[in-house]
Amino acid sequence: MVGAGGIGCELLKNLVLSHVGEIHIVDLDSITLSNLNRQFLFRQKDIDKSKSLTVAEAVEAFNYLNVKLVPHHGNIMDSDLFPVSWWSEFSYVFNALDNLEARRYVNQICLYLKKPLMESGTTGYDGQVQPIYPYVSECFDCQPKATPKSFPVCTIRSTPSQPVHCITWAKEFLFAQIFDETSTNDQSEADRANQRRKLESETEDKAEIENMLRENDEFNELRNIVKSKTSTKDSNFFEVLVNKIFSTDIERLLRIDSLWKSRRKPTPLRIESYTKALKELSAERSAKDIVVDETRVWSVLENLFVLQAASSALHERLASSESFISFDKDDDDTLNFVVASANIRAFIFGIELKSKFDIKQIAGNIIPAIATTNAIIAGFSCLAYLNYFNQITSSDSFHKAFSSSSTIFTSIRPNKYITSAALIEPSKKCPSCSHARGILRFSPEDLNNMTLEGLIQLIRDHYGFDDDISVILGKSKLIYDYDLEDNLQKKLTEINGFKAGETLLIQDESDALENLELYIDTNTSGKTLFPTLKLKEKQMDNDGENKDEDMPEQGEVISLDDDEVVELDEPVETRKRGKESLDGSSKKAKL
Amino acid sequence: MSFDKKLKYDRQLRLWANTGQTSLEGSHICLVNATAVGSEILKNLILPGIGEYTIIDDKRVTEEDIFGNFFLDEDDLGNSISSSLAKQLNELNTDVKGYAVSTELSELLRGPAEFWDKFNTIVITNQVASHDLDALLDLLWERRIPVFLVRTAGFYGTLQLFAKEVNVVETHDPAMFHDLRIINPWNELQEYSDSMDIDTLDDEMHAHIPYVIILIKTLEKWKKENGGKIPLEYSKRSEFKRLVESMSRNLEMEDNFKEAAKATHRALQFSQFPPLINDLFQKVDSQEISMDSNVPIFWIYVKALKQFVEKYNELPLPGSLPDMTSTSFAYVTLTKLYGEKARDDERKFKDEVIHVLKASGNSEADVNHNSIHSFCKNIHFLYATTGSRKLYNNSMISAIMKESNSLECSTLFIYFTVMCYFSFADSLQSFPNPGDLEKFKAFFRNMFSLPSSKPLPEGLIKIFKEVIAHSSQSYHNISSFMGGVTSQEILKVSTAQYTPLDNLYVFDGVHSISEKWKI
Repeated sequence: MVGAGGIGCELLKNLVLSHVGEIHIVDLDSITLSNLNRQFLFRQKDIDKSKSLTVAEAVEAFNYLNVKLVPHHGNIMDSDLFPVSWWSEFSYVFNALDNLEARRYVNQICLYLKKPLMESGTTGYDGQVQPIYPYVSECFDCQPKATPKSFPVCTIRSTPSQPVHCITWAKEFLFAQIFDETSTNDQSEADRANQRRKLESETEDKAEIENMLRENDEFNELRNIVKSKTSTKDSNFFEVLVNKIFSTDIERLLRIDSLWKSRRKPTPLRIESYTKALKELSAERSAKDIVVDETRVWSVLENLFVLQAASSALHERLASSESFISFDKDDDDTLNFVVASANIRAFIFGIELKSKFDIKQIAGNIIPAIATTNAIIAGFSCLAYLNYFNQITSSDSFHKAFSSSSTIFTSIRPNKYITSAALIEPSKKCPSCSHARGILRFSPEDLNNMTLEGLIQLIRDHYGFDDDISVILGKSKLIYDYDLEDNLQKKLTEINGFKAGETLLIQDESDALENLELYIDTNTSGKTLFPTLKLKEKQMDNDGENKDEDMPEQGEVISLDDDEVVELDEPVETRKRGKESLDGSSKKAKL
Repeated sequence: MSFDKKLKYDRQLRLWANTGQTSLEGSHICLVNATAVGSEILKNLILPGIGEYTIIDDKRVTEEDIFGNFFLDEDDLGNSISSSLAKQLNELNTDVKGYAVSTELSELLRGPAEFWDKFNTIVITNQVASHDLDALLDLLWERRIPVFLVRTAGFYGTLQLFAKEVNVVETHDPAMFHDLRIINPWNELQEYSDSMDIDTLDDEMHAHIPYVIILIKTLEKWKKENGGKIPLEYSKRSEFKRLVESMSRNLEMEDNFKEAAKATHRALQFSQFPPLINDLFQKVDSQEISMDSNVPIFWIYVKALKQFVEKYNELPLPGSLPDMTSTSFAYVTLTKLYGEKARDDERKFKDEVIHVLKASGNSEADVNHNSIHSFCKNIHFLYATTGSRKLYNNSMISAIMKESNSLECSTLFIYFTVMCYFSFADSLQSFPNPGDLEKFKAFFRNMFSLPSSKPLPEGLIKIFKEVIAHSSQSYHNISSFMGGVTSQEILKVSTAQYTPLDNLYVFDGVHSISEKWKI
């Protein structure tokens, strides 16, 4: 079980009560207060303890079926901690993870080892389980996943139109430029040129580019003020900051006519009109309560007050002990700074202001989570696993389980409470499971003495590559192709990064055979073993598009051009399991 | 709310906000029978911080109870099951108070009915004697306390909500909709629109007229050309849309006219009354609702709304304004206009609420500004339904007995089988064994008064066999799943947000299928 969080706690309980023989639990996280509303195996006293060790201990107290529990505190992607020999011991893998990268990694491992994998996830009231039987059903990578939204630099820097643009500006740009480590102080010419090239790739507006570069230089001045060790009391940091970002910079933007041809113009903030009220507000005792009022949208004056307080607190921290401050949603000074500056910018651009509560969610990438959805999803996960174990004695267990398992979605919408869909076959275009892969076990002797040339010859012999091949080590390091022969005489261990736990991607340059991916492992007792694989002929790209590709995701809302919003029902082809039935009385809808 | 609480509940506050959390913390849930599924339900309610819970069960912990229930262990054997369970569950969240009542249900039912009034929701799980179930349902139906009946048998689960009526204001309807009053702009909006002479604007300003104004002006033009008629039918609306586009100087360059065209259908459609409002108006004046001091606040609001509509011939304006291409000045002016009108309407609506409260013998002190505000904001998204006190009806029986549908209605088969399974155990003091199939068939016929001449559908008998073969009410994954679903529904009722089950839910864990039925 990878992940001992919301789904993990529920799932572990279900597995223990289903009398599984042995369960290994992996998690690298520690327990925090906001976990306690759903992760029922943790208590207040467990805060800051390791999740994996704590769940195992908590379950041990109830473990009257004597299930063997083995917790591991560590990163599942660490191949030293969790080598392939460790993975091979399991008969089933459960993903109860919260991030894409680790999900992808476990999916890959399960493909190499042909292990059944249960993928699961929840967001608020929505959840999903997907059983994966490698090469028989779709793997995690068969359906492209939505990547986090990113915005063009120009939208963030010059022409925001939504609250999220202002929040991104405040957090990624303003805050990072002034307080964080990453922004460079004295920029070299090369850096500047680099920046310019990046901006030029996004906009052709010369004036806009010049303006952005100039703004950057000025931020260095601000940074110098906060960095200087002068007493914060005498500092004019807040005044300089506010004047620059809410007045000077906006006026300068306004002078670039091309930006406002078809956009709403911003109105620079007249700081002087707030000075008196701000002073009065600061004198009031109740003013400090504003920051605690997280769900109310603050007025512009209140936002200015919060910005002033946060700026001075951050300045103080830099002047005394810290050398830089990174944004952290749980660090209230940083959050207040971002909330207030984002809101004032929003006001200037005529964009809706947001509460601190809402901005925290956006800036901190917070995903809502509750016990109920996790319980439902863990219940499904465990059910589908039992289904697989019904077939395990069969020689053809993956195919049998394939036809009797479902992908399941849950949601809060009354007509879509539970949707189950038959599994579908792997996508022919899947970047992960559409080509051959296997584990290459080196004897220690070969790993130390074999040259790359020797290895390439063996690969040719084993898999029947006629023509030239290229070899990529890890994610993107090309170590051999017909133009790159420098490494041929090197021993494998002399090639930087060549070690157990890495992968090799072998591509046929003549496009006759499919790609081959080999996972490097060691075989301490014996000789080097190549995986037995029969490479297929390469599928040409133009042999017809994969039909599934344009099919919308389940429940996706498509907006037609006349704004009639149409909610799609389940795509018919893949939703075989759902069925119609007649009604007892009058009304009926499928959940 | 304290800082720690805010942080602890942060991830759920993002779903139901402080208002939902406050309702949740003010709720007292009662669980009848300390079963595995009951423990799961309570766990899922205690973690998010339900106010109080009470477990009613007079039985002692047996070996069988421990199997499938995570919150009981060997040390509890022979002890009171309700106390043992409450002890473990209380550890989950120190904010929650839990109580155990080790008294037989039938004895409680003989006692004072006021005992039940402290509960906001009652959950009955698995087996209860038929006459006790009937007595309890009757009692709670009259007292307007919602009851959930949840049962698990083998790989099947059923859940039913018994509630006289369910009304929700904060439905969280995902429809992106704004009431813009294009058809009937109020005076200030009309005046603002009139103050703009769009033909004399230069090109840049013309490209920044907010689309609300474009639509109002286009409609005036349309009415002039069409004898004062408003384009309501789909085809007319499409024609109207083309008129909007034709008013642009250059549609390629003018985003505001594109937005106006895009918003046409919805802006015209939603200027009308939602049909549910008319239904509610009829109901509030009927015999069904007695406007006395016990009437739910929802009906006070409906009555007040009716009086509001009679006086002003429109609904209170929710006041939200979508983002649109505009000059900052025009957009800020519009935001102000909509905001002021919404506040004004809310004030007038509150006056009507006070009026209705007084007329129905309630105190003016009951006025809650937040809930009035929320009602006005959600006026287009209200939800109301009436429930059923019955466990089943005749049309459901005839549906399962239809010969042609042996496969089509398996979840109804499941529902009736599970109901019968628990009745069987109640009557014969033990659950059926695999050898009891014929006995079970006979019991089923008798229970639902089916003539012996008509054969039971094959699909139904398959379900009988499945349930009898397992003869377990606590497979843990089914308990976990049904516990999740049930607690989710209780959360909706407790937070008074989102739309709850209406009113029967059946889960087939063999095929991972579920269906919803309305009795």
